[in-house]
Amino acid sequence: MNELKIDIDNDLSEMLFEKAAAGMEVSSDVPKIIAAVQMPWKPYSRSGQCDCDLECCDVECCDVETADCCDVECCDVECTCDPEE
Amino acid sequence: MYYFSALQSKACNFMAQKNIFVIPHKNIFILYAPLHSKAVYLNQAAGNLISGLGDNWVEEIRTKEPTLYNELSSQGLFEEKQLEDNSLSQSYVFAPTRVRLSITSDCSLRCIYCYAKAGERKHTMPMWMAKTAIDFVVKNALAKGAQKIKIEFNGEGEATKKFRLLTKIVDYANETCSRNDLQCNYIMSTNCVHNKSVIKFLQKNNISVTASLDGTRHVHNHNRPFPDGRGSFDMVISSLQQFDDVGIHYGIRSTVIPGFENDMPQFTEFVADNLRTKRITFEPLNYAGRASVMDSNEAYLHQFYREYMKALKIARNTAVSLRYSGCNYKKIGKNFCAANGGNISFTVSARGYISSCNEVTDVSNPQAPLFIYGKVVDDKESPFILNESQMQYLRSLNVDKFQRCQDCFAKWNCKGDCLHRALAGPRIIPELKCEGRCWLNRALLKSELEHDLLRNVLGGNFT
Repeated sequence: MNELKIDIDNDLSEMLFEKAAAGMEVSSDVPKIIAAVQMPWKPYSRSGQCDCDLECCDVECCDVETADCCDVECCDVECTCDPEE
Repeated sequence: MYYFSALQSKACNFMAQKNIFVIPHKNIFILYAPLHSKAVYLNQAAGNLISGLGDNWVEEIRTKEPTLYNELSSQGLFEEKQLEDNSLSQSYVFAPTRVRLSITSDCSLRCIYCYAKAGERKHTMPMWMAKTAIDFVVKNALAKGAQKIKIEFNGEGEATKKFRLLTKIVDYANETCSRNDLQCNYIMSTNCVHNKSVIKFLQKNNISVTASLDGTRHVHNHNRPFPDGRGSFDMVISSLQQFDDVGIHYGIRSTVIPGFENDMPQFTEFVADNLRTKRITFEPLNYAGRASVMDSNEAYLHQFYREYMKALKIARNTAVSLRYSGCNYKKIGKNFCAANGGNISFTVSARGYISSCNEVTDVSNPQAPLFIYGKVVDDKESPFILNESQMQYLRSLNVDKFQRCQDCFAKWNCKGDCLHRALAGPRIIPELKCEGRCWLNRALLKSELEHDLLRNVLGGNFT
């Protein structure tokens, strides 16, 4: 279970990966980066506070009191604001 | 030098901060740097090279493979990054501006997995206690110069079951805040078995709702019956449609129990087609309360993962946003929630226990010694008895302290995961080398990484 079975179970991923691998220098002898992506979160700020703004939804998700944008995991009411929008 | 074998956690100590991870992936590698907000595909040669280097890997790459060094450097991967640890700031004073009130242990439903066994006991919070808690957060807000307080109704039962008390509490909070020029934000977790009066009340007070809805009709009715065995699906849907009509802001929380995993995709479609909310949180079973006797096996988690991925595929083609708490792909951090870490939450139970966890609100809970850190008493001069050392201990706990997390690539996305669920669950599923949720957290994170990388590689062909 701990091994790569999850990928085998994921048909979409498998198919897309095959498609992607065809265009990548997967087995080149030259060590290289094939692709890079920026994660949807911003580099963590020194203040330890969330970077998104608070007032764009009814739920105050980002509270300056906590380092972690409030305990949304507990209450399951998630902020609907999206810094990308 | 070590690297991850698939999803299995192994030390990945090739950077001093242990914050870059190399994960073998099919015939290539994913290099994941959460603090740098980066994931990259490495080809076989690069992955094999990095995996075989020692602590001085940066210098070794610079010498042996200057081109690769420059590529990695241009991604900012050699910059030193750390997550700040605010868990034990010297200036800490316990002065919350939000409170979670668990006003009753009674409930109108008898959900088969309820962590609180709601409805079996009938404790109700006295009004003086709610007032005491509200006065405290108002006083703190004023002292801090804050503009608002936050009140959450959640915990060991269904708040709307004590509707008269609930309305009195909200009226009191509104009056107190109005008098002090403060805004009051409300959140409520509820079973959504509501009549029109409750819905009008939620709308009037702009209460944001977490609605428990476990799936399509037969699944929800199986999991969340009334005491007489009738299913609650139709009433919940009726409430949600009224929420939609009157503009109540809500998200759906759906517990997926063994045997019903394959309802997730269908349910996602149902929500997309029939309800205005676009947020569903799927959670596996929390092995507490009535669920403590339920079976766990690896097939369940496998199946949860598989069906979640199918649901995610559907969601990505609709406006629905899926979520599972153990894999946060939008934010990273050190604490899963405010049950532990720098600013522990202020949860008051119906009997006056003060806890940092909404799922541990009574001293009969085996985890009470960890999470319950005080009591509210009817003493105007000194209404809170607080266990300072317990508070300090809870505040000190974050992902850095959890041994099982130290070498895990998902640790800042799951943030150490839910302490309560980890402790309540089967500690170690014998077949697994890590706890069940850990496996799920890693599997889902790896899938998210792969999704973004493939989209990047394939561009317009990503379909």
